[in-house]
Amino acid sequence: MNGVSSKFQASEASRSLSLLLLERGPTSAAPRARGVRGNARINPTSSDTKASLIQLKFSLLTVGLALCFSTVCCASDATFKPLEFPPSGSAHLLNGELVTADFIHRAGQFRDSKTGELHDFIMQSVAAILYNGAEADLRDVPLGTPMRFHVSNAGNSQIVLATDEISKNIPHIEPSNEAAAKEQRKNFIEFTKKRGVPGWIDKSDGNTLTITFFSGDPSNFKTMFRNDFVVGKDAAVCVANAELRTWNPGTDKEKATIVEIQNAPTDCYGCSGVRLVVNVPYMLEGFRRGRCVRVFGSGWPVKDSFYGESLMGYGYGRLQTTELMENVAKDYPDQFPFRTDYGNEKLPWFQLKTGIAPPPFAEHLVFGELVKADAAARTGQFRTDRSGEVVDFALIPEGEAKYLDAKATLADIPGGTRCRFHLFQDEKGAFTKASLVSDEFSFLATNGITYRIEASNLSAGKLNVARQIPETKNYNGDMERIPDIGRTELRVNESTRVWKNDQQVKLSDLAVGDALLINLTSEQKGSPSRCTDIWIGVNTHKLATESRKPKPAPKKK
Amino acid sequence: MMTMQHASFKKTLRLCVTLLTFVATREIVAADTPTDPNFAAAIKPFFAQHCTACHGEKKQKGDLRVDNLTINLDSPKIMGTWEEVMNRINSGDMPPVKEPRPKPDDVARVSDWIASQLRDAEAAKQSTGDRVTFHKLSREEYANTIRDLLGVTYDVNDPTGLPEDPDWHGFQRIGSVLTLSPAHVEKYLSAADMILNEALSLGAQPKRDLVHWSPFDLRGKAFEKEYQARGIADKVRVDLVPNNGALDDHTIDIKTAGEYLVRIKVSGMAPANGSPARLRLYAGDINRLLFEQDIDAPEDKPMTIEFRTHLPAGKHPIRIVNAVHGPNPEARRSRASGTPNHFTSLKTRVPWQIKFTDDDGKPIVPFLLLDWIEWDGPIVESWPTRAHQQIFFGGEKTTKDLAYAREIIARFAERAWRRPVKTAEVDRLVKLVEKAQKLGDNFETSIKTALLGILCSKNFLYIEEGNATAQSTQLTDWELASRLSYFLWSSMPDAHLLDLARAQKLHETGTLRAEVKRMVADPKAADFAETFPHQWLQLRRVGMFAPDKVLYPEYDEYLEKSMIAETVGFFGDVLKRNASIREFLDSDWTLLNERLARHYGIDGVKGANVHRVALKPDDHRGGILTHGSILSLTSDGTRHRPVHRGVWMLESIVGKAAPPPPANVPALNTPVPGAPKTTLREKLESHRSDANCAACHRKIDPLGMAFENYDAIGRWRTVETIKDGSGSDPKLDPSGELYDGRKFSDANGLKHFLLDDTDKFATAFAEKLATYALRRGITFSDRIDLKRVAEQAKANDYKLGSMIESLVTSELFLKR
Repeated sequence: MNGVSSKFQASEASRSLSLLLLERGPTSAAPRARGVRGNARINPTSSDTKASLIQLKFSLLTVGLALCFSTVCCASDATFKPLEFPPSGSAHLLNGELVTADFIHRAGQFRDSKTGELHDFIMQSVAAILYNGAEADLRDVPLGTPMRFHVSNAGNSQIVLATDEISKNIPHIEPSNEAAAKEQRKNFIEFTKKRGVPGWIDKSDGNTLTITFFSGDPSNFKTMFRNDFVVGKDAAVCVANAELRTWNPGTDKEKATIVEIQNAPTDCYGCSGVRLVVNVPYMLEGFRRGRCVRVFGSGWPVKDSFYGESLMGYGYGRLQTTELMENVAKDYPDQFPFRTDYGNEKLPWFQLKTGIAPPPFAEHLVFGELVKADAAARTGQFRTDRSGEVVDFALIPEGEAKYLDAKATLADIPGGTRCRFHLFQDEKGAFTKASLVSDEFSFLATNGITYRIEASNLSAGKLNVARQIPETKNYNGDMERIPDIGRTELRVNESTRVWKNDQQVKLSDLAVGDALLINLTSEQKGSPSRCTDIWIGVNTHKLATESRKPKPAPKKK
Repeated sequence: MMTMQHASFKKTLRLCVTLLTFVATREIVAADTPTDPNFAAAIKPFFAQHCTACHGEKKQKGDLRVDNLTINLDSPKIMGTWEEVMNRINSGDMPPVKEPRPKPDDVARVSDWIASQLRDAEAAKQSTGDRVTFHKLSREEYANTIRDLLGVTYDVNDPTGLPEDPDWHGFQRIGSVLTLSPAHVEKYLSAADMILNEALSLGAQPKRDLVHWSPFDLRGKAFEKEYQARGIADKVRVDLVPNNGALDDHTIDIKTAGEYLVRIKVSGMAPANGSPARLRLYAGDINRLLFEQDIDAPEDKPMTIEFRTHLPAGKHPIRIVNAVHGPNPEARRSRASGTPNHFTSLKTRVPWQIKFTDDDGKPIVPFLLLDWIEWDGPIVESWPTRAHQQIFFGGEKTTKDLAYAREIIARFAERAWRRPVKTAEVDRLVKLVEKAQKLGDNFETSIKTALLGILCSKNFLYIEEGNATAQSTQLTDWELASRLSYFLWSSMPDAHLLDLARAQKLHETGTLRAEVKRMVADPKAADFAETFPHQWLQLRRVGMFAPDKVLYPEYDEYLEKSMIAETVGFFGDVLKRNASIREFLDSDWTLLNERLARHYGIDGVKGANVHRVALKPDDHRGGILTHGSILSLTSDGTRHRPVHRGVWMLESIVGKAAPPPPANVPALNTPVPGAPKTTLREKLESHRSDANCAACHRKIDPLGMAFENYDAIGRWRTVETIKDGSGSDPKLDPSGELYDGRKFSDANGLKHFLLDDTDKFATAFAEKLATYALRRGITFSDRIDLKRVAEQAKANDYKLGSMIESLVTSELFLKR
C-alpha cells in the first residue's frame, strides 16, 4: 500500500476481490462490522471439494486480476495507462429486494427475488447506486425496493452498480419519471458537495495528480459538476479510503490548482468520463496510484463528514462503535504478521500463546446459532450461518461468554440464539477455540447501536429499522443526534418475545420510533433469520443487563 | 545540611572574592598625547576658515571654542567635544547653511583625523598605565582553563552558565571591556563548586546507568501491549518529517554530571540530488546542540551512531529534530500517525501524512526513521579521578595534616594562578581549611573549600600583569607565559611553559620562537585557529539578521554553520601550512562541504565536513572576501548592504575604520510603482550625490560595490532580482574607483589592487593580531612596533606563522 513498490501494490478492487474468498455473508441482523468478514470454511470436508475448486478458480482469477492491476500500477510515465474501471459486461445481474443498507461501509444485503436467498454485497469504490432515474446513495433507497445488482464476475459479493427499475436504462428515462429524477439529482448533488466528488489517483508525478472521477451516470455528471471544476480554478483534494470515507478534510485538504481537464472513456462501470489534472503544494501518502480521494470544487465548504462517517471524528468524544473505526487490519495489513478476516491470505492464522491475550483482529469471526452448551466444561456446539455446518467449540482459559451484555456462562445463552464466535485454530488447524461467544444484544449494546423502528408491517412479519448510534457531544459541547449509519429489515413471528421494562408485551406494542435491541436466529436456507427477542427502550435494555448481574447476597441479620 | 556557621562562612568567602575582584578591575589608564603635524597643516586652517568666526577667541557661540582645542586622550570631556565637532561637520550642520561650504575633501580630511584621535583615545584607555593591569578571562578561556587544570568540561553556553562576553569591534577579550558584576561573582562561585564536585572524588563512585528510549517512549505507549501481542513491537520506529519536524521534548534525567555516551540507531533517506536528512539533538535548557549529522542509511539497514558529550546534572528536555529543508512541519500532515497506528514501515504510514516515497518506493523528501536512543553514563575513566589524584598527590596513606594541606594548596594555586604563590597567600587559604575542619568537614572537603577560594580569586579569573610595588614596563617570564598561552591556546600555560618561566628562559627570542612553533602545532591551537578569525572577521554577525524565509527559503542553520566553517577552516589551513596571508585576499582554493558547494553552484563536492576544494575562475570564488559568511554578515536579512560591506572592508582588511555616519542620514526612497527597476547601487548613487556624504562614501562604497555580484546570502548573480518596477531585472555593475584613483571593473580587479597593497594589509592584519594577543586597542606608540612586524612579515613573504612569531618576539609583545 503506502510506499510499496507499485508492482506489489494491490488496488482496492483486487483487495476486495481477494477478501471475497473468505466471506459468506452475515445474517440479516447487522451488516458486518468492519467490512467484509464472516464464515469461512472451518473444517474442510469431502463435500467441499467442489467448492474448493470454485475457490481455486476464484483465486486464480483474483491473482490474475491483481496482476493486471499491478501491471497497470507499474506503468512508467512513458507508458502511462489509466487505471481500469470494470469493463461493461464484466458483471452478472441478480435481482433482489434491498433488505439491509450499511451507509458507512457502502455495503448491504438483498434477498434474491427468485430464490429468497440472502446475498451480501459490498460496493466497489467505483460502484454507484441509481435510483429514481438519477445517481443516488444507499440512504436514498427504501428497504424492499426491487433492484438489479450488477455483481462483479470476480466474486459474488462485490457489486459495480445497483439500479432500480426506473434507472436501469439511464440516461434514458421515461418522461413521467423526469421530475423525480431531477429531484433525486438535486439531492445527490447536495449529498456529494458535502463530501467531495470521489475518484481515484491515476497518476502522481512530482506535485501533479491525475484523478478520474467516479459516477454511475456519466451523461449527467458533466451537467452536475463539470462547471465546478474549471482550469485555473482551485479545488481541494482530500485523501479517502476504499469506502470513500475521509478523515478530516478541513485540515487534511490539499488546495489544488486545476491545470487540465481530460475526457475519459465511459464504456465501463463507474467512470464519470472526467479526468482532472491538478497541482498540489504537498504530496500526501494517500496520493498514490489507485488510492481514492474526494475532491471539493471551488467555493464548496470543506468540512468533516458527520461523526461516525468520518474516519477521524476529531473533536468528538471517544467513538464507542468499533465498526465505524478505521479498520487497521484491512488498511494496514503489513502491520499484521498473520492472516486476518480482512487480508494476508498467504500468511498463517494467529496461533494462541499461553498467557498472552490475543490481539484485536487475530480472531476469525464466525456467526452461528448456539445448539448446545456445557457451562462446566466451557464447551458447546453451534450451527454455522448459511451453511448449517455444525461445529464443536471450547472456550479458551481466558475466553468468556456474554449474554445480554453481561458476563455469562455458555449455558446462560438460550439455544437457538445467533451468536458471534471469535475463533482460533486448534492443534489440527480447525477453528474450534473460542475467545468470546456473545449474542447480538451484547454486540449491539457494547457498540452503542440500537435499531429505531421506521415502519412496521407485522402482518408480513417485518419491521424496517434504522441503525443508530448514541447521541454525542459535538464540537460546541452540545449533545447531537448523529445521522443513522444504516437500515435493515427485521423479521418477526409469533415466537418473537417482546420486552418492555421487566414485562413481556406483545408485538403490537411495538411503535415507530422505538429504540430496540434484539437477539436472532441464524439465517439458514429456506429459513430466514428472525428475532427471538426484542427489547424496547433504553430502560429495558438496562434492566435486561442488570438482570444478568449477580445480586449481592442478603445481609445476615 | 548546611549549618548556620557554614552559611556564614560561605557568605564571607563570597564577599572577599567580590572585594578582591572589584579592587582588581580598577584601572588607571595613562593617555598618550603626541603632537601631530596634520593638525597644524590641515585642521587648524580649516577651523580658521570655517569655524573660529563664531567659535573662536572673540565669540563662542553655544559655549564652544575650537581654536584652542587640544588633544587629551585622558579626558573624556575633551574627546567628547571633538566627537561632537566631527559629527556636526560630517552631517553638514556646520558651518551653517548660509556660510560658504567647505570642500568635501577637506571635510573628509578633518573627520578622518578626528576619528583617528578618538580611536587612539580609546586604545589609550585600554592600554597599560597602572602598575598592575588585570584582564579578565573570557568565558571560553575560563572553560578551557578549567578543562586543562581539572579535566572537567564546563559549558559556558549553558544559560545558567557565565554571561556572554561583550564585543569591541568584533573582539570579545578586551580587558577593559570584560568587566565584573555581582552576578558574575555568584556565577563563578557556583560554577567553581560544580566543577570541583565533578573533579574531586569526594563521595561514592557514581553508578553508570543506561537509559533506553524506545519508539514507544518517544511516541506513546498506546499500542505497546497490542503490538507485543501481535508480534510487531520490535518493528515500531519513529518517523520524522523534514524541516525540523520534531518530537515533543523528551526529558533525560541526569543524576550525576559527567561524560555520557549517547547512541542512536537511525535510518535516513533522501531523494537523489536532494539534501540528506539531518539528525539534530538539542538540549533546550542548557542551550546546547548535542549532536548534528547527515544521515544516509536505508530503511532496512539503519546505522548506529555514538557520540560523547558532557551533561550537567538535572532534567534536560531534549529536542530530536530532522533539521533539513522540507514541507511545513506544523500541519497535522507532518505529525505522527498516533491513531490509528504507530509507524512500523514505509508501507504503514497513514494517508493524510506527508508522502515519504513515490509509488516506486524512492524517497521524495528527506526523512528519518529512528529506532532508539540510549544514554550511557556517567563515564568515569578512573576513580578517584585524575584531578583528584593529582591534587591529593600523596595518596590515601599520607598523613592528612595541615602541612600536607599547605603543600596541596601551594601546588594547585601555582598552577591555577600561573605563577609562584606567596607564603601569605597560602597562609590565608590554609586558614580556610582549618576553619572548614573545625566546622566538621573532613580533610578532602575542607581542601575543596580552599580550592574554591583559589578558583574564585582574582589571580585565577584575571590575567594579571605588573607589580604593585614597583613600576615595570616589561613582562615577567610568568606573565609572558600566560600572555603567550592565552594568545595561542586560550588557556593556561602548560607545564613546559611554566618550567621555562621558572628557569627565566622564556623571554629569550630563540625560546619564544621555538615555543610559538610548538604551540601552533599543538592541538590546543585549534582554539586560536577558530577564535581569532571569528573575532577578527566579526563572524558573530553572520545570521544576526536572519535571512527572510520567503526571500531565501534555502537558507538554514546548516548552511550558516557551513559558511562559518569555511572561513574558520580556511584560516586554520593557512596557519597549518604557514602559508602567506595573501591567500586571505585571493586564492585558487577554499574549503567546502556538499551543502555549501551546492549553495555556490559548484558541482562534485560530497560530504558533510568542509574540505579543501580547488576553484576554477568561473566559480567566482577565491580568498575570504568571497566567502558566504563574509558576504552575508553585513546583510539586513532582506538585502545586501554594499555600504556596510565597504565599512567592513575598511575595518577588517584595510585597517582604517570609517568615521561613524552622522545622525541625519535618510533612508532609501520607496520605489515609485511602475517606475523602471533600478539596482541598489543606482539608488545609493542618488543619496551620495550630497557633497557632505560623498567625501566619506568615496572611500567606503567602492570597496562594497565591488561585490555587487553576490547577493545577501553570498550567491553569485549577474542581475539584481527586483520584485517591484517595470522592465527586466537590471544587470549589476561591480566596478569602482579607489580613493587614490585606481579603477577596477569587478571584485577580481579589487583583489588585485589589494594584493598589490599587501604590505598595508599586513600592517592591518598585524594590528588585529596584536589587539587579540594584547587584549586591548593599538595606540600610536604601538604602531612603531607593528610596523617592524609588518616589515619582517614582508621579508618572510607574509607567512602567517612567521607573522605570529614576529609579533611574539617583538617589543610590543614583551612589554606591558
